[in-house]
Amino acid sequence: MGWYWGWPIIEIVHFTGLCLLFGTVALYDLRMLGVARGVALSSLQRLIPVGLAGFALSVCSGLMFIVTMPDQYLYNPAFQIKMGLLAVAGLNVSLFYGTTAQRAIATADQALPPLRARVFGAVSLSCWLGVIACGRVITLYRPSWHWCAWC
Amino acid sequence: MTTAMHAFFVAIEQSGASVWMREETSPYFVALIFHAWGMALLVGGGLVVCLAVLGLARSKSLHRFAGFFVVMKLGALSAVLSGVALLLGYPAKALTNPVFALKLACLLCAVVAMRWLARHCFTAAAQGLPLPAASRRVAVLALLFWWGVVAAGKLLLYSNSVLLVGP
Repeated sequence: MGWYWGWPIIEIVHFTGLCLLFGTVALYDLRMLGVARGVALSSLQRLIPVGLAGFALSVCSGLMFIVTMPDQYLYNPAFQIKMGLLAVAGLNVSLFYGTTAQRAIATADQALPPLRARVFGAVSLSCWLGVIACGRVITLYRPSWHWCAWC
Repeated sequence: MTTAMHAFFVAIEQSGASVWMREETSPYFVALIFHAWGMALLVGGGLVVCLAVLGLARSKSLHRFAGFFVVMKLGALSAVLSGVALLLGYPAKALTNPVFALKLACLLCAVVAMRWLARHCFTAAAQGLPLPAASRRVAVLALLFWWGVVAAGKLLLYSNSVLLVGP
Protein backbone atom coordinates (compact mmCIF):
# COMPACT_ATOMS: atom_id res chain seq x y z
CA MET A 1 0.00 0.00 0.00
CA GLY A 2 2.11 2.89 -1.25
CA TRP A 3 -0.65 5.47 -0.99
CA TYR A 4 -0.75 7.44 2.30
CA TRP A 5 -4.53 7.05 2.69
CA GLY A 6 -4.48 3.36 1.79
CA TRP A 7 -3.85 2.16 5.32
CA PRO A 8 -6.53 4.30 7.04
CA ILE A 9 -9.09 3.33 4.37
CA ILE A 10 -8.38 -0.35 4.96
CA GLU A 11 -8.62 0.28 8.71
CA ILE A 12 -12.07 1.81 8.17
CA VAL A 13 -13.14 -1.24 6.14
CA HIS A 14 -11.70 -3.55 8.83
CA PHE A 15 -13.54 -1.81 11.68
CA THR A 16 -16.76 -1.55 9.65
CA GLY A 17 -16.62 -5.30 9.14
CA LEU A 18 -15.89 -5.76 12.84
CA CYS A 19 -18.92 -3.66 13.87
CA LEU A 20 -21.22 -5.62 11.54
CA LEU A 21 -19.82 -8.92 12.81
CA PHE A 22 -19.62 -8.03 16.48
CA GLY A 23 -22.98 -6.28 16.45
CA THR A 24 -24.85 -9.29 15.13
CA VAL A 25 -22.86 -11.99 16.93
CA ALA A 26 -22.54 -10.18 20.28
CA LEU A 27 -26.25 -9.32 20.44
CA TYR A 28 -27.08 -12.92 19.54
CA ASP A 29 -24.78 -14.09 22.36
CA LEU A 30 -26.20 -11.54 24.79
CA ARG A 31 -29.75 -12.65 23.96
CA MET A 32 -28.70 -16.23 24.68
CA LEU A 33 -27.40 -14.97 28.03
CA GLY A 34 -30.78 -13.41 28.81
CA VAL A 35 -30.44 -9.77 27.66
CA ALA A 36 -33.43 -8.32 25.75
CA ARG A 37 -35.79 -11.20 26.45
CA GLY A 38 -38.72 -10.96 24.12
CA VAL A 39 -36.48 -10.78 21.06
CA ALA A 40 -36.72 -14.14 19.34
CA LEU A 41 -33.41 -15.83 18.56
CA SER A 42 -34.91 -16.69 15.18
CA SER A 43 -35.11 -12.94 14.43
CA LEU A 44 -31.47 -12.44 15.36
CA GLN A 45 -30.59 -15.56 13.36
CA ARG A 46 -31.75 -13.70 10.22
CA LEU A 47 -29.06 -11.08 10.84
CA ILE A 48 -26.23 -13.64 10.88
CA PRO A 49 -25.61 -13.24 7.08
CA VAL A 50 -24.91 -9.55 7.83
CA GLY A 51 -22.38 -10.69 10.41
CA LEU A 52 -20.83 -13.06 7.90
CA ALA A 53 -20.53 -10.20 5.41
CA GLY A 54 -18.79 -8.20 8.13
CA PHE A 55 -16.44 -11.12 8.78
CA ALA A 56 -15.62 -11.29 5.06
CA LEU A 57 -14.83 -7.55 5.05
CA SER A 58 -12.61 -7.97 8.10
CA VAL A 59 -10.76 -10.97 6.65
CA CYS A 60 -10.12 -9.28 3.28
CA SER A 61 -8.92 -6.04 4.88
CA GLY A 62 -6.90 -7.97 7.45
CA LEU A 63 -5.13 -9.89 4.70
CA MET A 64 -4.18 -6.57 3.13
CA PHE A 65 -2.54 -5.49 6.39
CA ILE A 66 -0.59 -8.76 6.59
CA VAL A 67 0.50 -8.70 2.95
CA THR A 68 1.75 -5.11 3.32
CA MET A 69 3.77 -5.70 6.52
CA PRO A 70 3.94 -9.44 7.15
CA ASP A 71 6.65 -9.32 9.82
CA GLN A 72 4.63 -6.82 11.88
CA TYR A 73 1.89 -9.42 12.22
CA LEU A 74 3.27 -12.93 11.79
CA TYR A 75 5.90 -12.49 14.54
CA ASN A 76 3.59 -10.46 16.77
CA PRO A 77 2.29 -12.30 19.87
CA ALA A 78 -0.85 -10.14 20.03
CA PHE A 79 -1.70 -11.11 16.45
CA GLN A 80 -0.98 -14.77 17.13
CA ILE A 81 -3.30 -14.75 20.16
CA LYS A 82 -5.94 -12.94 18.08
CA MET A 83 -5.80 -15.69 15.44
CA GLY A 84 -5.99 -18.32 18.18
CA LEU A 85 -9.12 -16.69 19.63
CA LEU A 86 -10.62 -16.55 16.13
CA ALA A 87 -10.01 -20.28 15.77
CA VAL A 88 -11.66 -20.94 19.16
CA ALA A 89 -14.62 -18.76 18.16
CA GLY A 90 -14.93 -20.69 14.89
CA LEU A 91 -14.82 -24.04 16.68
CA ASN A 92 -17.34 -22.77 19.23
CA VAL A 93 -19.85 -21.66 16.59
CA SER A 94 -19.43 -24.93 14.67
CA LEU A 95 -20.17 -26.93 17.81
CA PHE A 96 -23.11 -24.66 18.64
CA TYR A 97 -24.75 -25.13 15.24
CA GLY A 98 -23.89 -28.83 15.25
CA THR A 99 -25.34 -29.63 18.65
CA THR A 100 -27.51 -26.93 20.22
CA ALA A 101 -28.72 -24.25 17.78
CA GLN A 102 -32.06 -25.85 16.86
CA ARG A 103 -33.12 -26.20 20.50
CA ALA A 104 -31.90 -22.69 21.31
CA ILE A 105 -33.70 -21.06 18.37
CA ALA A 106 -36.90 -22.89 19.28
CA THR A 107 -36.85 -21.35 22.78
CA ALA A 108 -39.85 -19.17 23.59
CA ASP A 109 -39.25 -15.43 23.19
CA GLN A 110 -39.28 -14.64 26.91
CA ALA A 111 -37.41 -17.74 28.05
CA LEU A 112 -33.71 -18.38 28.59
CA PRO A 113 -32.17 -20.81 26.10
CA PRO A 114 -30.78 -24.12 27.42
CA LEU A 115 -27.67 -23.97 29.62
CA ARG A 116 -25.45 -25.42 26.89
CA ALA A 117 -26.48 -22.60 24.54
CA ARG A 118 -25.67 -20.03 27.20
CA VAL A 119 -22.20 -21.54 27.63
CA PHE A 120 -21.63 -21.34 23.87
CA GLY A 121 -22.80 -17.70 23.98
CA ALA A 122 -20.46 -16.82 26.84
CA VAL A 123 -17.47 -18.46 25.11
CA SER A 124 -18.30 -16.70 21.85
CA LEU A 125 -18.65 -13.27 23.48
CA SER A 126 -15.39 -13.73 25.41
CA CYS A 127 -13.54 -14.76 22.25
CA TRP A 128 -14.74 -11.77 20.26
CA LEU A 129 -13.95 -9.32 23.07
CA GLY A 130 -10.50 -10.90 23.19
CA VAL A 131 -10.11 -10.55 19.41
CA ILE A 132 -10.88 -6.82 19.68
CA ALA A 133 -8.49 -6.35 22.61
CA CYS A 134 -5.64 -8.19 20.86
CA GLY A 135 -6.27 -6.15 17.73
CA ARG A 136 -5.81 -2.94 19.69
CA VAL A 137 -2.48 -4.01 21.19
CA ILE A 138 -0.92 -5.31 17.96
CA THR A 139 0.99 -2.03 17.65
CA LEU A 140 2.29 -2.45 21.21
CA TYR A 141 3.86 -5.82 20.42
CA ARG A 142 5.17 -5.18 16.93
CA PRO A 143 8.68 -6.59 16.32
CA SER A 144 11.50 -4.43 17.67
CA TRP A 145 12.78 -3.22 14.31
CA HIS A 146 9.53 -1.26 13.86
CA TRP A 147 10.03 0.76 17.05
CA CYS A 148 12.63 3.07 15.59
CA ALA A 149 11.21 5.36 12.93
CA TRP A 150 14.59 6.76 11.97
CA CYS A 151 16.60 3.48 11.86
CA MET B 1 -4.44 28.45 17.81
CA THR B 2 -5.03 31.32 20.23
CA THR B 3 -2.80 32.00 23.23
CA ALA B 4 -5.57 30.97 25.61
CA MET B 5 -6.10 27.65 23.81
CA HIS B 6 -2.35 27.05 23.80
CA ALA B 7 -2.18 27.69 27.55
CA PHE B 8 -5.18 25.41 28.10
CA PHE B 9 -3.57 22.54 26.20
CA VAL B 10 -0.20 23.03 27.92
CA ALA B 11 -1.93 22.97 31.32
CA ILE B 12 -3.58 19.63 30.51
CA GLU B 13 -0.45 18.13 28.92
CA GLN B 14 1.67 18.99 31.95
CA SER B 15 -0.81 17.53 34.45
CA GLY B 16 0.18 14.30 36.17
CA ALA B 17 -2.73 12.39 34.65
CA SER B 18 -1.82 13.43 31.12
CA VAL B 19 1.85 12.54 31.54
CA TRP B 20 0.83 9.19 33.02
CA MET B 21 -1.47 8.43 30.06
CA ARG B 22 1.29 9.32 27.56
CA GLU B 23 4.38 7.85 29.16
CA GLU B 24 3.11 4.65 30.76
CA THR B 25 2.32 1.94 28.21
CA SER B 26 -0.51 0.18 30.04
CA PRO B 27 -3.04 2.98 30.70
CA TYR B 28 -3.02 4.15 27.09
CA PHE B 29 -3.58 0.69 25.65
CA VAL B 30 -6.13 -0.24 28.33
CA ALA B 31 -8.04 2.93 27.36
CA LEU B 32 -7.77 1.94 23.67
CA ILE B 33 -9.17 -1.53 24.43
CA PHE B 34 -12.12 -0.17 26.44
CA HIS B 35 -12.74 2.42 23.72
CA ALA B 36 -12.82 -0.29 21.06
CA TRP B 37 -15.14 -2.49 23.17
CA GLY B 38 -17.40 0.44 23.89
CA MET B 39 -17.57 1.53 20.26
CA ALA B 40 -18.16 -2.05 19.08
CA LEU B 41 -21.09 -2.48 21.50
CA LEU B 42 -22.53 0.98 20.79
CA VAL B 43 -22.16 0.95 17.01
CA GLY B 44 -22.82 -2.79 16.70
CA GLY B 45 -25.98 -2.47 18.76
CA GLY B 46 -27.06 0.54 16.74
CA LEU B 47 -26.52 -1.36 13.51
CA VAL B 48 -28.63 -4.30 14.69
CA VAL B 49 -31.50 -2.07 15.85
CA CYS B 50 -31.47 -0.19 12.53
CA LEU B 51 -31.40 -3.44 10.56
CA ALA B 52 -34.37 -4.65 12.61
CA VAL B 53 -36.33 -1.47 11.74
CA LEU B 54 -35.41 -1.98 8.08
CA GLY B 55 -37.08 -5.38 8.26
CA LEU B 56 -34.04 -7.63 8.04
CA ALA B 57 -34.78 -9.27 11.38
CA ARG B 58 -38.48 -9.75 10.59
CA SER B 59 -39.58 -9.70 14.19
CA LYS B 60 -43.17 -9.61 15.42
CA SER B 61 -41.88 -7.79 18.48
CA LEU B 62 -39.74 -5.02 17.03
CA HIS B 63 -40.15 -2.95 20.18
CA ARG B 64 -38.40 -5.70 22.16
CA PHE B 65 -35.14 -4.71 20.43
CA ALA B 66 -35.22 -1.74 22.80
CA GLY B 67 -33.90 -4.26 25.33
CA PHE B 68 -30.53 -3.88 23.62
CA PHE B 69 -30.41 -0.17 24.44
CA VAL B 70 -28.92 -1.06 27.83
CA VAL B 71 -26.03 -2.75 25.98
CA MET B 72 -25.59 0.32 23.83
CA LYS B 73 -25.62 2.58 26.89
CA LEU B 74 -22.94 0.45 28.58
CA GLY B 75 -20.91 0.64 25.39
CA ALA B 76 -21.37 4.40 25.26
CA LEU B 77 -20.26 4.73 28.90
CA SER B 78 -17.13 2.71 28.22
CA ALA B 79 -16.40 4.68 25.04
CA VAL B 80 -16.91 8.06 26.70
CA LEU B 81 -14.82 7.32 29.81
CA SER B 82 -11.99 5.78 27.79
CA GLY B 83 -12.31 8.56 25.22
CA VAL B 84 -11.82 11.18 27.92
CA ALA B 85 -8.76 9.26 29.13
CA LEU B 86 -7.33 9.21 25.60
CA LEU B 87 -8.08 12.93 25.22
CA LEU B 88 -6.28 13.57 28.46
CA GLY B 89 -3.10 12.11 26.99
CA TYR B 90 -3.16 14.11 23.75
CA PRO B 91 -5.71 16.92 24.11
CA ALA B 92 -4.41 19.15 21.31
CA LYS B 93 -4.17 16.24 18.86
CA ALA B 94 -7.94 15.68 18.99
CA LEU B 95 -9.33 19.08 19.90
CA THR B 96 -7.54 20.89 17.04
CA ASN B 97 -8.56 18.23 14.52
CA PRO B 98 -11.76 18.95 12.56
CA VAL B 99 -12.18 15.21 11.98
CA PHE B 100 -12.73 14.82 15.74
CA ALA B 101 -15.54 17.38 15.54
CA LEU B 102 -16.97 15.40 12.61
CA LYS B 103 -16.84 12.21 14.72
CA LEU B 104 -18.74 13.85 17.58
CA ALA B 105 -21.26 15.39 15.15
CA CYS B 106 -21.94 11.98 13.57
CA LEU B 107 -22.29 10.48 17.05
CA LEU B 108 -24.81 13.15 18.09
CA CYS B 109 -26.81 12.68 14.88
CA ALA B 110 -26.80 8.89 15.32
CA VAL B 111 -28.07 9.22 18.90
CA VAL B 112 -30.85 11.63 17.78
CA ALA B 113 -31.88 9.20 15.03
CA MET B 114 -31.91 6.26 17.48
CA ARG B 115 -34.05 8.22 19.93
CA TRP B 116 -36.49 9.01 17.09
CA LEU B 117 -36.67 5.32 16.22
CA ALA B 118 -37.26 4.41 19.87
CA ARG B 119 -39.93 7.05 20.36
CA HIS B 120 -41.85 6.54 17.10
CA CYS B 121 -41.12 3.06 15.71
CA PHE B 122 -40.95 1.06 18.88
CA THR B 123 -44.03 2.78 20.30
CA ALA B 124 -46.00 1.98 17.14
CA ALA B 125 -44.71 -1.61 17.12
CA ALA B 126 -45.68 -2.09 20.77
CA GLN B 127 -49.25 -0.98 19.94
CA GLY B 128 -49.42 -3.21 16.86
CA LEU B 129 -49.60 -0.19 14.56
CA PRO B 130 -47.74 0.18 11.25
CA LEU B 131 -44.37 1.90 11.47
CA PRO B 132 -44.21 5.62 10.57
CA ALA B 133 -43.49 6.32 6.91
CA ALA B 134 -40.14 7.91 7.73
CA SER B 135 -38.87 4.90 9.72
CA ARG B 136 -36.77 3.35 6.97
CA ARG B 137 -35.22 6.69 6.00
CA VAL B 138 -34.30 7.44 9.60
CA ALA B 139 -32.87 3.93 10.07
CA VAL B 140 -30.71 4.33 6.94
CA LEU B 141 -29.57 7.76 8.15
CA ALA B 142 -28.71 6.28 11.54
CA LEU B 143 -26.65 3.55 9.82
CA LEU B 144 -24.76 6.19 7.84
CA PHE B 145 -24.10 8.26 10.95
CA TRP B 146 -22.85 5.21 12.87
CA TRP B 147 -20.52 4.43 9.98
CA GLY B 148 -19.39 8.08 10.04
CA VAL B 149 -18.42 7.72 13.70
CA VAL B 150 -16.30 4.66 12.85
CA ALA B 151 -14.68 6.21 9.78
CA ALA B 152 -13.91 9.54 11.46
CA GLY B 153 -12.46 7.72 14.47
CA LYS B 154 -10.08 5.76 12.27
CA LEU B 155 -9.02 8.87 10.35
CA LEU B 156 -8.08 10.74 13.54
CA LEU B 157 -4.62 9.19 13.68
CA TYR B 158 -3.83 10.28 10.12
CA SER B 159 -5.39 13.72 9.99
CA ASN B 160 -4.02 15.57 13.01
CA SER B 161 -1.66 18.49 12.44
CA VAL B 162 -0.67 18.85 16.12
CA LEU B 163 0.48 16.14 18.53
CA LEU B 164 1.62 18.05 21.60
CA VAL B 165 1.81 21.82 22.04
CA GLY B 166 4.09 21.78 25.07
CA PRO B 167 7.81 20.99 25.41
